[in-house]
Amino acid sequence: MTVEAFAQTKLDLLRRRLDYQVRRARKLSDARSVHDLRVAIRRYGQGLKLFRELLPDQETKKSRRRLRKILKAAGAVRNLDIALDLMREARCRDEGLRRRLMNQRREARKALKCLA
Amino acid sequence: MPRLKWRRDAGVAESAAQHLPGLAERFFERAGELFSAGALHELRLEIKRFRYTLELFRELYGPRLGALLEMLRQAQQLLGEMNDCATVARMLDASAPEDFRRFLETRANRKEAEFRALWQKRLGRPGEGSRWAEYLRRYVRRIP
Repeated sequence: MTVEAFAQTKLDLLRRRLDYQVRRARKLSDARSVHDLRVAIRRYGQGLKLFRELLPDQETKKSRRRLRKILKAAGAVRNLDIALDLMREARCRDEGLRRRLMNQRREARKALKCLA
Repeated sequence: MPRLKWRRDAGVAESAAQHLPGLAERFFERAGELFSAGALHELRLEIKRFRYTLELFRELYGPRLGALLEMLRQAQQLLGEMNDCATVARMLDASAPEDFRRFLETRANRKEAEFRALWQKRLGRPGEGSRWAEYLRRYVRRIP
């Protein structure tokens, strides 16, 4: 198999996985689906970067720009999920803080849904 | 990560054998520098990029590559958990409970200690980069 065919096969696979994770995160928006979406973006982004020599320049730049925006929005949701998770693990009973984080998460989730 | 010059019509096995050893050598060299400088956040990102790159070529190698990938995954996870604590601590305002802050600090320190132990025992061993470069050069297999 040539490296070009290999790159195309890998990128197609990563792209399909990413599309699936976008749909899943849009539907569920739970911590797991948002995390998996971020991982899928990073893996696809790394594939694009690695094989950029073999791809049309514009296509790579456009895809990576769009992915960066989604990644940033998903990152905001993910950080709040982690904060809530660590609060549970620490048995922190500050209701005010928990509510504040939950409200921020709702807003961050809305922003992500608009992009993804 | 350096921009790799792929030859479109070259076989993927020979291309992997040509490029991956150099990537591995550079990764271990850079990772060692970052570890010594205490730049653990940057080191986490380097590990992630290297791991995702190697995973793309997983089917071209045998189970030993799986062992390297598992080490990288563990290192990335510990550094990620450490980073999570720092991220959450930055999100808290002045009214956040002090015991939660202490919990985050203690957890981050524990994860860092676990990572340093893993580094000393496995990834940071002298000659590790050359060993993996040699493996990636010699043990690549052709796929139809």
